[in-house]
Amino acid sequence: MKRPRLYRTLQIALALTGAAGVLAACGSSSASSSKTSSSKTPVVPLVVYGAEGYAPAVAKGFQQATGIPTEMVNHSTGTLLAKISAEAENPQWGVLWTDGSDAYAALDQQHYLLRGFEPTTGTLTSLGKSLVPADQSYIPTGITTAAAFVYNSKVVKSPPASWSSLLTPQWKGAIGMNNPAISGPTYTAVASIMSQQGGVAKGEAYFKKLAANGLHVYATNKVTLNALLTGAIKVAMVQNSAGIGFAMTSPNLKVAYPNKSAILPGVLGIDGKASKTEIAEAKRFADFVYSAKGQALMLSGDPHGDSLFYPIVKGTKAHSEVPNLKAIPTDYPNPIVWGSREASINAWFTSNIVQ
Amino acid sequence: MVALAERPIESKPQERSGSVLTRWLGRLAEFLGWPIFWVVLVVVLLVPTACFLILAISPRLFDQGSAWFTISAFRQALTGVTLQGMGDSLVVGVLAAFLAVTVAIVLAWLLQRTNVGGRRLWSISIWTILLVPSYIIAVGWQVMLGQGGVLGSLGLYSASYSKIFFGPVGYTMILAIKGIPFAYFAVAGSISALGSSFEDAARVHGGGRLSTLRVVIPMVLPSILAGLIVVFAESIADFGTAAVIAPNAHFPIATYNLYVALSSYPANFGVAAVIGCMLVAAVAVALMLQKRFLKSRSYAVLGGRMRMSSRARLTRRGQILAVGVLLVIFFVALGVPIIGALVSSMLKPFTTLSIHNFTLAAYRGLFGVSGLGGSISLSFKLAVLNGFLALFLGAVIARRLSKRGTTFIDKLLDVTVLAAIALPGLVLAAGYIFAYNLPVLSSLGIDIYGTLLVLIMAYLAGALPSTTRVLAGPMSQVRGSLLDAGRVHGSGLAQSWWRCAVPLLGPSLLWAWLLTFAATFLELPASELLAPPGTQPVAVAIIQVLGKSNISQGTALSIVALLIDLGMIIVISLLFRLLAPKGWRRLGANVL
Repeated sequence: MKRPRLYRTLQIALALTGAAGVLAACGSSSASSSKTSSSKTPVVPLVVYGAEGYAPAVAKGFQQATGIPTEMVNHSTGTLLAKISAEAENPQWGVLWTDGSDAYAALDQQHYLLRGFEPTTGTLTSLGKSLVPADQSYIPTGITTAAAFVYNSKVVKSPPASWSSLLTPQWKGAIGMNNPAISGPTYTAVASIMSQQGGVAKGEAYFKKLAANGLHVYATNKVTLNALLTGAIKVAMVQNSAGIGFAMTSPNLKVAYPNKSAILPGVLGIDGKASKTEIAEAKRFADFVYSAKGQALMLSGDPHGDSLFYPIVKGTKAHSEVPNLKAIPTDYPNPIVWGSREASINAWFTSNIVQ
Repeated sequence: MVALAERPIESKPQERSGSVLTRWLGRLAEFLGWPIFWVVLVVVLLVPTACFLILAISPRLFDQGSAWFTISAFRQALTGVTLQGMGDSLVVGVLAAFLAVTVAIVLAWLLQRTNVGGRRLWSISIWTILLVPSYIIAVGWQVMLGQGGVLGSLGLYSASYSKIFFGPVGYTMILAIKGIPFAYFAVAGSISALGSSFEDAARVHGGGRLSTLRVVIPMVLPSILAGLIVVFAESIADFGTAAVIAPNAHFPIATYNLYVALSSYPANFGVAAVIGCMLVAAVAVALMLQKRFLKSRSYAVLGGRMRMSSRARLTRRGQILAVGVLLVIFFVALGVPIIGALVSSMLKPFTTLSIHNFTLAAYRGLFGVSGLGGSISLSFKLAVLNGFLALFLGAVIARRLSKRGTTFIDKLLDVTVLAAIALPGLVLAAGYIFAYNLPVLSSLGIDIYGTLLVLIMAYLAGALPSTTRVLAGPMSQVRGSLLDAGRVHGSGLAQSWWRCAVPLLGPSLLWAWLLTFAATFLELPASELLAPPGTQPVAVAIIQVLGKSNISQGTALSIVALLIDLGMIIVISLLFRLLAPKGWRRLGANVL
């Protein structure tokens, strides 16, 4: 039966109005339920995008201490950064807390981050101070290193000690690492290795030789460590905290440090485009992280993983399993220089080394 | 609604028993039904997809660059490894499709046309393949064949077969395994309906087995082509297998490249969008080829007067051989992955395969993970809800498509719903961010981004293409005259569907619901990108556990989640047997 045009137009108009009404109603009801405000001090939920294993514990402690509702979005660094990029027009986060300062330097160059704020509730060690950027656009919260050599001491008697030794026949087909394009912290390791080799071109040549020597590339720390557990590789190049965590449950595993291993700061950034209220809450969150209570929660929140960091706030002691950083030869590639190269180096790595 | 819109009954139905209110409600539904359907489809599937794909040429629209119009993303994506990845994905997709359809034809013939033993068990196994995520199948095979794996523990490890598996060969095999159910659903109906009369005719005229095949295969060609295209679309969009096999295979794959483009900072949405476009375009081209091929001659040999074929009675040797073939197929497709997953969740690290080295520690450890109960409960509720939403919309689309070719809109709907299968979940989820986080929507008072509603919409969009495909066959078998008969006898539209068609479709609808339930329960990309702050669906929790503790606990959680899935299937099937009207059950017995 052929319907008159007016009938059809009316049908579609009514359906569209109905749909817009339903969506608006759903949106506003959820918005009103989530964004309750009291008459005295306005409170909005503080949204924390965190990849650190201890972030949920700290967020919970913060909410208990301040009464500010704190909502965690807990994913890998790559997923969180992709989410932030996609939400560019309408940011949904208040605090970002992940490992590695390179992405923060890049975020800062795109004016995403609040500048000129550092917490005052704790005093940084001299090493900690050296990690604070000149424009104070992000906040270092602790240190791990990338990459460390994790090995099975029953199979490997003397682990490799330098990056060049990995190119020898002894380690042919025996080394595994993460893809820096998927595992955020691995990019810092790759940047450091390239910078130690003398720049991007020499760094690329190094990785090509490493690939020719049978390098295995996996997605993330845990997948690489699992390859070590199943014997597919003999040495896993991963973040040291992940290696120490595994060694706690598998005593045969040992962690060795190459000459040099990159300093990988845990970093917290505040969304510069958030509302004034949320920025104020985010600053209180950062203050909480530097406080004694916050530091204690960072040390206890993820006992076999990220909690095995090296503290940079004076008065906080690392777990006994974590080695003193002074005994490890370290390197800190300039995040402003290497942060802007992340996308191109990761694309090169995926094209030339992984595939 | 469908029957009314396309098969109007001009004669006035008998006086209905409903009240004035129900009659008015019925008229309102008739008036707004189709427009609402289209608006839902546009809002849920088309807008987010289009937003992401438009990004490829206009990044400025979504604040992802400075250009309003550029083809630089195409230039980047159509070179080097990304281009090679597209090529590899297409080749592997085609090979997997042929392999899956070949296996499906064997399965369909054995299960539909012979009296092979354990037919119900084999049918359920086919459904189980559908429910197991591809990464579990890939990990299972990896644990079986990899260095330090099961065969390694038995002293049977060989670098050469391991190398063959962790490359194009293994990749194709796993995609083909995942494709078997889709191919089976496409071909089983026509192989069953074909009857043995054509085979008999060929044999009577002196044809050998080979020439009989030559007679019969063209008759089922349309469904074979449909199966090929569905498996091809599913294969090129698969990410689970790519994530496990691609990194070490030195074998670029489109979906892996797409993932990498989205993972590093700053995310390259342009390249990801181009890869998404190409995958969808590949399926659209395949569909057009299929249409052209089928138009070139008539394949309409299957009529309403066909008699149900009798099942061939296998001899004792035939039975043994047939069961042997089925055992091999399902050992490869299900046995190995299940053994692999169990071993990797229970074997202590650095130990060999021995009963003393097995432990349930990983499973016990799960009890200590906080918040897991909340995740399971949330995903369970969302999966149940999405099951019903996708079932309803999928059934409506499938019904509409079964009368294909009537209008341009229907043809467009057909291509869209099938091409959407090739849309990787990540693309769809990212598209949702671009579409529903636009500041302009906030200014209109539509603040749905970051709420559960968007997650539910994304789940629905993800499930709709597959659900529609699964229902396409059964829905096309419901004759319009059946519904007309119902209406003539005084039932309203909904009532005649409920009383005449649903009993026939019962088991198919049940399985389609379960398929959506299972897929939603373990869905990852949308859950990761779209779950509201403070909530954590099961798949995200699994990733968290995998990231925090050892891999055995992550696998253990995957197995627990799968068991919940399978448990649900068993419970629902039992309820169906106990509670569904007798007619539904009897009529449905032939569907599986």
